[in-house]
Amino acid sequence: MKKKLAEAPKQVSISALRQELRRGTLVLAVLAVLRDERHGAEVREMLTAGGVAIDDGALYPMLRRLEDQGLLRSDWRFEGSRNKRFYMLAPHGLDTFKQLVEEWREQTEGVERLIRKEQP
Amino acid sequence: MNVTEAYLKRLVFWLPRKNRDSIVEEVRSVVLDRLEQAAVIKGRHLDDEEIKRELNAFGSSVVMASRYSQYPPVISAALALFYWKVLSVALLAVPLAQSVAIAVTVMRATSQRIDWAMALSHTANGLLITFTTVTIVFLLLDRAIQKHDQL
Repeated sequence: MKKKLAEAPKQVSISALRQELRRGTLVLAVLAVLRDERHGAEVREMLTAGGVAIDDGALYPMLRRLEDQGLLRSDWRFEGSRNKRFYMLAPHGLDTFKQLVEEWREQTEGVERLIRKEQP
Repeated sequence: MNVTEAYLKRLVFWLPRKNRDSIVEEVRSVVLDRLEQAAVIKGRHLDDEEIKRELNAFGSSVVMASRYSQYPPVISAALALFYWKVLSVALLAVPLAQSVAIAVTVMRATSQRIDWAMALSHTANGLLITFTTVTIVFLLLDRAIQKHDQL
């Protein structure tokens, strides 16, 4: 009888892991940017500058989803030659943002300690 | 109809009715901005092929519509494993039951020829009904659990 060969571990690409890591912080980054009113293109530019780049095709549905969840509010206004949708944190979004920042800081500190191999 | 309007029309087709007009208006504004920027970079108007490439880079109409839609999965991850186990067992049981039925027919009436086409048709119907029933039961179970979790 043939001995069953040990299966090779599945290789996970670094880009997939990076995406996974980024996914959790993206909402926080968007909420941080939208403490001031901005339209989508500005949000994208600021996210890119902050190292959390996102495609237009993913950003706008995300903004819409956050608005549906009551975290953002939006208004249509003319800017330049075009009508644009401006987004800003809703009151519930601001509360959520503060809670998420606290949570994120705690997690980051914890992970930092783990990375440095410090005792909790 | 130009390439951009054709793209938006396809998007309208795929989008859910809720907020459709407002979503399309926003996408139109974003897409026109992108095309304008691309034209500025090139220093000339874009031709249809270049517009198509820009629109594809933004996201095909189906992909964009799916990003805007928030349909829950048919079976959520929490039940997926259980669902696949039950489904595979149920789907295996159908041809097995059919084989038993054929064996019984053969034993009871040796002279009678087996209608294989009929047997295959019964098996196919059985598989289809089993798949549909198991999926619907799990779908209802999934929705009930989600509703309970939201309370």
